[in-house]
Amino acid sequence: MQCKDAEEGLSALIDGEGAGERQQAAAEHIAGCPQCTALANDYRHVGETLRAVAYVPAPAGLEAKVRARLAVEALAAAQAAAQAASGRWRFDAGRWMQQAAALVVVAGLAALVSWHLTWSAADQDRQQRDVLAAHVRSLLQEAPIQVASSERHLVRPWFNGRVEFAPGVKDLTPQNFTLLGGRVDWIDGRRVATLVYKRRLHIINVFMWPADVQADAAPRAIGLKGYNAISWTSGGMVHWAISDLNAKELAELQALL
Amino acid sequence: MRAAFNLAYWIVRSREEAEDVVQDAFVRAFRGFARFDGAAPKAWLLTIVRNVAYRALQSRKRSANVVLFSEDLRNQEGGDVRELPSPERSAEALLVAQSESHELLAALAELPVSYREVVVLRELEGLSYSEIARTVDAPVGTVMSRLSRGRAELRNALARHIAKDETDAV
Repeated sequence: MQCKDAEEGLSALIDGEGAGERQQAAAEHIAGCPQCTALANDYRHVGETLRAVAYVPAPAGLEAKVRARLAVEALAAAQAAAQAASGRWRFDAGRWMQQAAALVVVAGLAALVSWHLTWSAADQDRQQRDVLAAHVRSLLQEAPIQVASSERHLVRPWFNGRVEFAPGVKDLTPQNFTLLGGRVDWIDGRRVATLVYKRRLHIINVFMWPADVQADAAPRAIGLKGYNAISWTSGGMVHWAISDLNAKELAELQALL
Repeated sequence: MRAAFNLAYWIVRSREEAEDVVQDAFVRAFRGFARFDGAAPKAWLLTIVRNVAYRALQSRKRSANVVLFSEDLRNQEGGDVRELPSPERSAEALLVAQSESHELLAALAELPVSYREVVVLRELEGLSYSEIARTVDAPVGTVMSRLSRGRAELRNALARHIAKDETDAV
């Protein structure tokens, strides 16, 4: 292989991308070619220098401006929804719909902002971020549940073929945690099983997937942008429970699972 | 917010316009949030930022700097037989140049925008090739060749700069 042919392979090699025979051949050529090796070092140096000097920081007031624009947007959407609703509904139903629509929009705004803040914090744990995003998404969607059943013998088989493990499904209705159903989510680069419970008006998402390390981990409670979350590992499965339910009651659920 | 502003800046190359672009992009993201599929939120937002920034560029009629996507880029890039830059200058020589960061910023600003955005997304935002491909709506192969060309341009700009310094010194 000539240097010219290895040119693109050089970039892919630096970035740890690319696979296949061609890439392999390029990598072999570069390793044995002093010119290409020097070029690779130059490219790395270019990258390091760029990271050091080329990042343009956002102006201090920008975030406030964005929030203000989004608030205006949310208000407009709420009014539009309320108008549409009051046209179709009469009596108290119209009022109720109006309030519901406003609530949904405000929740959406809050979710967008918190979701944004979450991912922009570079050091945030990817798992936490994904759990939070999945929870917020489920609240924004009209149907947060793909299999709606309080019958655990229906929910558990539903996961067959949808995830590559059999999640434990418990009906906790006697303990006042109603099983609403299940769903499949995407967290930390894998498909996970989600059980949806409800206590009073609070939706609780419980995510689970097989642990990479078999050791059990004790429950760890954290606050995620106003939501309460608990993560633990037991029986070879990682669990995450997240909700706007208070931390004490969430811990009750954790103990039951 | 950081990433959105940085990308917007490097596409439109104006702080004021980049601020407008970020605000418009967030409003669009808000309106389109229901359609967001949940995969790669950063790439999703940056895609919107990029689209808004391009619209700003076009409305400014700076189209001279914009490579049109309707052209067959692969062909254009593949058909162009370029010499590999001769790597006779060592990395050590590159390191010593004092004002090289200025040179590098100027070189980045001068890159065609379709190369510049790919370099920014990779080197500054650390996106994977497939995320970049989705953000700029181009095949991964195109991303690779643009990144490769962009890097070569930047490196050559630095090399030229050092050559000039040495000539001045003599």
